[in-house]
Amino acid sequence: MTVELTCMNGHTFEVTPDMVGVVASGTSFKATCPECNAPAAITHAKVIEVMGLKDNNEARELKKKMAAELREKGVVPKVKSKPKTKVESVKTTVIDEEPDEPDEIEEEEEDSDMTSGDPYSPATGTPWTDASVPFAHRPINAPPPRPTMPPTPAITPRRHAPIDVMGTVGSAKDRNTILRETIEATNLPDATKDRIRKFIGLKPEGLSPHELYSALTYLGVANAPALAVVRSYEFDLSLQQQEVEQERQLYTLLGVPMPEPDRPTSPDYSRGQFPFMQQSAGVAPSPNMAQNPFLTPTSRPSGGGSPGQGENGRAGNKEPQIDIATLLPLAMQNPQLFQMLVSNPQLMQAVAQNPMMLFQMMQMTQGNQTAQAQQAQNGGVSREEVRALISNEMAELKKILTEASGNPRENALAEELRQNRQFMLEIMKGQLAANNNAGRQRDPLAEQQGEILKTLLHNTLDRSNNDGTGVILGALEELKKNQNGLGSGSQSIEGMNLFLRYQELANQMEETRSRFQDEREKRESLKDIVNTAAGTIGETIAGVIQQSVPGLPNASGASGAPGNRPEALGGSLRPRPVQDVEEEAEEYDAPTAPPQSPPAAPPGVNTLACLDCGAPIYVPSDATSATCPKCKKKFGINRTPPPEVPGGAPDGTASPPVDEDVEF
Amino acid sequence: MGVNDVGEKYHGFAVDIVRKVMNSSLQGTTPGQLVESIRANASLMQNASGQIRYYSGFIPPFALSMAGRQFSKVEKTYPGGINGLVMDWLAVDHPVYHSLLLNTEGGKEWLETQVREILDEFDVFTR
Repeated sequence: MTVELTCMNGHTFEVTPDMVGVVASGTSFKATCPECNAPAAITHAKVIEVMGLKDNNEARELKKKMAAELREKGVVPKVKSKPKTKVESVKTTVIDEEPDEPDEIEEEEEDSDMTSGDPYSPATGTPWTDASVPFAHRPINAPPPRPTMPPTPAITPRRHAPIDVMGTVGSAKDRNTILRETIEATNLPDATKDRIRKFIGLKPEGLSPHELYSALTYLGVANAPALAVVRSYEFDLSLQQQEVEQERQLYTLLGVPMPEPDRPTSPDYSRGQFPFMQQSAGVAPSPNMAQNPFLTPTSRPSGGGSPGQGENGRAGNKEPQIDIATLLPLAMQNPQLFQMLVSNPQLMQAVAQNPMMLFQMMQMTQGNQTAQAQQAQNGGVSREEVRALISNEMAELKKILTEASGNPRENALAEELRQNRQFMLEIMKGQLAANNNAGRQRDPLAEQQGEILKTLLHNTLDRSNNDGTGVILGALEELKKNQNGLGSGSQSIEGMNLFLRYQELANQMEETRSRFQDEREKRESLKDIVNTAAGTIGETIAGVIQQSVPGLPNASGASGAPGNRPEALGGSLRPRPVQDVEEEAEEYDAPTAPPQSPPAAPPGVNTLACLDCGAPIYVPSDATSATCPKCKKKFGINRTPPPEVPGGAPDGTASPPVDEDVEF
Repeated sequence: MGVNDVGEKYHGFAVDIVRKVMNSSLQGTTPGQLVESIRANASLMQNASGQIRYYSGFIPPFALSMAGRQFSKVEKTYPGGINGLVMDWLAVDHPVYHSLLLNTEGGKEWLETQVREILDEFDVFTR
């Protein structure tokens, strides 16, 4: 006898004895698909047939043997920490007629993240019914179930908290409807879609995104597509919540209490933080119709009034009527809109059909009031604003009409709604035109502002006569014209932008000019320094030549002016004593590193380099000792007598710069 | 405390005013003039009063009473007192003058005199 199985990917194959194995936990049999190597659950009965066993005992023995072999091969059985409460309770009620089913349940428990007790078994593809569940009948000898352990499906702890983004307003679709739409929009295989639909149908309280993810994973959908589907589902749920929130705001504005949805008396709402609208009672009423607070209960339309649709259906095509009393809070908040509604029965009828229209009307009237207030402040509304306002309203009305015409149950009212909205549009246009005309009246203060601006402009331009004045003048003139116009808001903005741009250009020009001026000053100062240094160097060279060449008159003795003496020229022009220090250091074999070249000394000051740390030491010209300011080391300064220079001054004041020796 | 740390630590607004006055006075002096001033024991703080008044104008009057405590703290805690602190400032702000003060006979005493003059002016102004 051949036994055929279907793997989770939909492949049907014939089971041979070599395909039979046990799962990693060793609790149930499995068969591997030859096409995709996916495991498929196989019952004990089929194993008995395939393997030619006698009864279940032999099958259990075979299973234990295979599990032992797996353990010997090093396959670590999957051990999960979730409680086995359900399995234990099941084992107490297992009967011997079909003992293989609980093992399957165990595998289901351990290989899936779905909550236990799901009435649909994706692995076998057959829904569980009361007749197929083996432990539905308790043996006579078995003890009665404990009251603390009810036979209801055990609740396994969730890995993640279920994401619940649904609101509580009754107009919301139930989760299953949203999920069905989401699943239909995905690219999942049809078989997977069908199974999910079945699974959804068996979960009337709704499916959380977490449960959807678990189901998708269990059905063999890869992680990324499963996550994508779950995200899409969450997005649809959040979209639904936003719509519900808008409706809630509408009710809040109207001061009408939020109506409770007509919920069936479900026996178990323990997990239902979200609404469930029963879908089995024929066509569900329109959310707008069901939640319209202005409709009396007997006047709700029910999509054509066909018989068999309950009380609403028997009401026939009676038009929904609005109750004036329900609009009293609106009269307190917005008397203008209330008067408009009362004076126009057709408009009131349209509002009765679509409460969102009332909300939009309130927004429009509030927008008009805001525009009037701005007009009172600014002196008018620009043409662009009026045009944008009208186009927005037209778009909104078109959208509403499209939505209304898309619903077949409201086709009869679409034409009437359109007429009402056109009427409202005409009213709005008239009001906006009146506002626009009122805005054209010039404000005398604005004209004075223009004059003031003109005066300021001319004064500013008189003070600053730079290159960009012409351009800025044009920009300011344009700005002044716009100030006087009071109706061309966009021109004023453009003029201001132009002015700001030219102002920025003027600032950049000013900055560039100042930078060039600084550079010019630097060049001039550098030129002065070079000229002064060249003159001084020339004089110094001339003095040295005069003193070194015999026969020439002694310039220093002749002049006697201290300014012509090299010593009086300052230390920076003297032969740098650091050269002598270095030579001496070499002569005395100084152990330290050669001193650094000290900077040029200021006039009247000599510069030495510390033989220890190389830091520059500034000393007076006649100093005989020096202390390093850095290392605090003291040095003595030996002044060697000047060489005999023919014709030199005997007092030494005219002698060449003295050589300085530094002693350690 | 090293020389490099002098510029980092803030000893108080009054002590900082002394530093600013000292720097301002030395900026208009050449090294040669400094040496001559030291040897002639001449003061460079002719305009100290005006400068102290200028800098103290940025300080609220109620805070000027804290000046004495700031000087006392520096005198007690800093090595060499206020004169040592001024020398360390000069090593950072005017290394040439600092070296000249070290290597000129009577330079430290001259500096103490200058600091004393500044403090006297400050004391007169804040009294």
